[in-house]
Amino acid sequence: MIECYRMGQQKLSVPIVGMTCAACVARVERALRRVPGVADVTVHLGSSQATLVLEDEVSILEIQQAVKDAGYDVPVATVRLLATRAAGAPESLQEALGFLPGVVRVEAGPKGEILVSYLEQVTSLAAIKRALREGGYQVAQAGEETALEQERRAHQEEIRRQWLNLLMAAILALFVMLGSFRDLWGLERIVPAPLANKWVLFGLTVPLMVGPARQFFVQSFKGMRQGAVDMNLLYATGIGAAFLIAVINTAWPEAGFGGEDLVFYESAAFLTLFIVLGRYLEALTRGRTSEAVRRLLELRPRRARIVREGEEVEIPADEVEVGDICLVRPGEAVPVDGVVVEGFSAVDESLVTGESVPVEKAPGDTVIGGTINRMGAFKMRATHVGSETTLAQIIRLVEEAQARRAPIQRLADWVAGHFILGVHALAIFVFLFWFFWGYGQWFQPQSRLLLGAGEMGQMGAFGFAFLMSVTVLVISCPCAVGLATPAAVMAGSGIAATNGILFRGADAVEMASRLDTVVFDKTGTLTMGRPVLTRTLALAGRGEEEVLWWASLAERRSEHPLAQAVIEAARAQNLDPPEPEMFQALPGLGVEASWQGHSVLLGNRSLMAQRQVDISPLEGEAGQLEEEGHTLLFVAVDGRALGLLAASDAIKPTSHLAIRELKAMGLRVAMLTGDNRRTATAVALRLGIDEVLAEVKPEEKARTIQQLQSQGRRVAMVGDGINDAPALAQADVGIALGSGTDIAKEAGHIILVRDDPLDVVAAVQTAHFTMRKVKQNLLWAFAYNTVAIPVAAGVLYPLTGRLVGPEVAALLMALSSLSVSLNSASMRGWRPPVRRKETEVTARPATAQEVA
Amino acid sequence: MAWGLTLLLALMAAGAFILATLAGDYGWGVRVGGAAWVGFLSSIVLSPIVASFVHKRGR
Repeated sequence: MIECYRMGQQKLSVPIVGMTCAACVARVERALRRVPGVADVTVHLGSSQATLVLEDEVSILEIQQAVKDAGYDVPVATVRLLATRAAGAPESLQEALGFLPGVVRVEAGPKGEILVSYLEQVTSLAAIKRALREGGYQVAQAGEETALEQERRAHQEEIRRQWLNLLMAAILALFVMLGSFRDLWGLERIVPAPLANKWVLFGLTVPLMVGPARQFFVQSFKGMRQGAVDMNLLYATGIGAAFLIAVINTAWPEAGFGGEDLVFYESAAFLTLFIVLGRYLEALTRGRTSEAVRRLLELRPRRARIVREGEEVEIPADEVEVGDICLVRPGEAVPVDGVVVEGFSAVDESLVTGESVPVEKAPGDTVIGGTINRMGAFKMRATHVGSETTLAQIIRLVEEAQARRAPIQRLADWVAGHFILGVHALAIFVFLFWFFWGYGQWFQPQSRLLLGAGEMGQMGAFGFAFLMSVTVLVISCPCAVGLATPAAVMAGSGIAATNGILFRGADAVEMASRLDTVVFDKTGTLTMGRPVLTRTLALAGRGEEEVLWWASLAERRSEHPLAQAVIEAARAQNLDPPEPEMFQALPGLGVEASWQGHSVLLGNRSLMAQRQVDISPLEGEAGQLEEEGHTLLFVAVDGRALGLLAASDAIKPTSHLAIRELKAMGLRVAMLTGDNRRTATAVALRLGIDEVLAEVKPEEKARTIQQLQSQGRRVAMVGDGINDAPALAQADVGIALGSGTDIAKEAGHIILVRDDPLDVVAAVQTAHFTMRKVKQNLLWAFAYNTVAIPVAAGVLYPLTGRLVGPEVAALLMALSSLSVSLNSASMRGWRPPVRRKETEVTARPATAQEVA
Repeated sequence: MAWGLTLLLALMAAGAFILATLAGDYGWGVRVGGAAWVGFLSSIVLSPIVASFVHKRGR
């Protein structure tokens, strides 16, 4: 039984297997756009994903079929379930599953099993089991293969297939070469004469055409049927043309194509060998480039130990529900996100947040699913499960980021998209030029092919022009152009993700590499965000306790960090004022409250000036406190100043190093705060920040960023992803710091999981490194094609008397594409330099200079 | 429609090649082989251009 279900998702990410170059991307995009209900499609080669925007209900089967028709596949997870129907349960499994979105098909397997195939991006095993149970079935799991495992298996199969092709091509090509060149290099002594017979060579080349080379003909035919041309067409044309001419010259030497002296069997054989070699090496390296993302996927715990009705039960991690109490023993992975309710431990969060030192956990602390418990056992309450866990969100964000294209990629995509047609057009021109004119002008019988054994001899105009034309087709490498950006961006964003830095897209990576200004929001970003009250001052005739009492009364309903500091200080002095009868927060100014006919004002100078409260008696001490970096809160009751409170927010231990590193990278660093100028300047001086944007109200932050941009500066804003959302959105790059587990809610182009300003430096360094690799790749890809194609077209032939043969062209093409993949794969193991420096700084005592 | 038009244009390109070779001293095998190669490459270059043209006209 095969059933398919419809789904009503707005956005869907689908894994695609089998894509090898930029033209494949275009082909899959074209195929998916034709599926009714699909509004938009973005396909990314690096992550092998298609992101679809749906405007109507679309069946996954239709999507899968469209991808299959284009010559590729959508891997789905398959689970074997033992489902026993209870009395009264619906007979149809379709009915039982209730058209669950994401289920691709349900099949009856042997021994009463059912095989359910589903898209992991849309539904989960837990949801399928729940639907079956709710439908009256008793369910037991018999086996499961996730899409990741299936993708890996497909990847391994592709490597194995190309290895067998390579082995077969190498053996046959060796014999063809020995036979073709028997008369040269003294080979006649070891090579038997029959091997040089043209029909024997034909017999050796045919298995190559129907074996290793078959994939190029099949793929290019599928592409042509879809109205698309790709790299396979270039290969198929080159190999097919060489083989066809060889066959004609063998069967009908008088046809005028060069006769028996011009057989292209060795060209066809070596073309196939080198192209298959390129495919094999690419299959190896492509898997390695996306390893960083795979590592994140592999972190997903498979099993969880939960406590139900006082007993420990082991269940699949997918089936943990919010509120479940999970037991985590030393060495085990935390199954889902949650809060520790019992026990103490240290958890290794390095693979999720990049934090190298295990983090101590006590009751009340949050733990992230996928991290490893290193020490004691603890119990936790699940708070986020399934697709809501931090790890699932990180994976989703990274996948989405890799699906977005960097501006620099547009040019590369345009070139790669038009490249193949352009090369075919050039091949016609080259053929016509050498056939009608060039041959007569410059052909020399004693000229040779590059690395070739013999002379051209009496090769005719057709053979000569044809050779040039085929070489142009074979040497061109649009793959390198198409792969240059996505391969490096994928590797870079993968490295960033494993360091707790999430780029929302390739555009964010590119923009972060071009910044010249970084603006930090002060509170909670450079400072701890937990101010403490350090001084209370009362005017003559008033007590300090009285000032604090009124202040804590006014702040009782406020959630501002300063309010918490005031209330905590009051509690410490056993002051417990009543709730105010009226309370109003005045953003950027302070608060206003009333109680039993008294009006209370608590806030900064601006508030006091606005309400015409005279604070001149406090000015002397206030000025001094501000110069020491304290934030001041003036207290006024019934329009008269009573005193002031001074609060101080400790600077984070890594803020100094972060600012120093950013300045060393040539960036201008500014601090944005609502504090008055004197306080802000004092804090900025301590941090080494030259530019202070003080007294900026929350609603003015975005405008302040805009003003900096109007000066022609490319600005990054670092702040709280929720409170500073407008400023983060206005900035060229918004960096949301310390998002913890609520990643998806964050605004900003870059999201930092940890609460550490050094990650801002690490993000910029990663962006610089990634873009350097992108530029290296693009430079190489464009330079290779710019030089190689004219040389293959024979530009140097009149001067050197040498030609590039199709075999050498195929080898160069394979190496060109491979070099881009290898350059991107070489990013593995790279760590942002600041992370290395951080380790060094924390591992040794500070130097006198650093202390100073 | 698009395929038919592409084929027609490719055949015209091949025909033009044969006509051009008539001015020179070439064998018929070379003429036909060259025309086939030019026609084949032309069909590859022309097929997306013609398909796009026909698609736009159709709308």
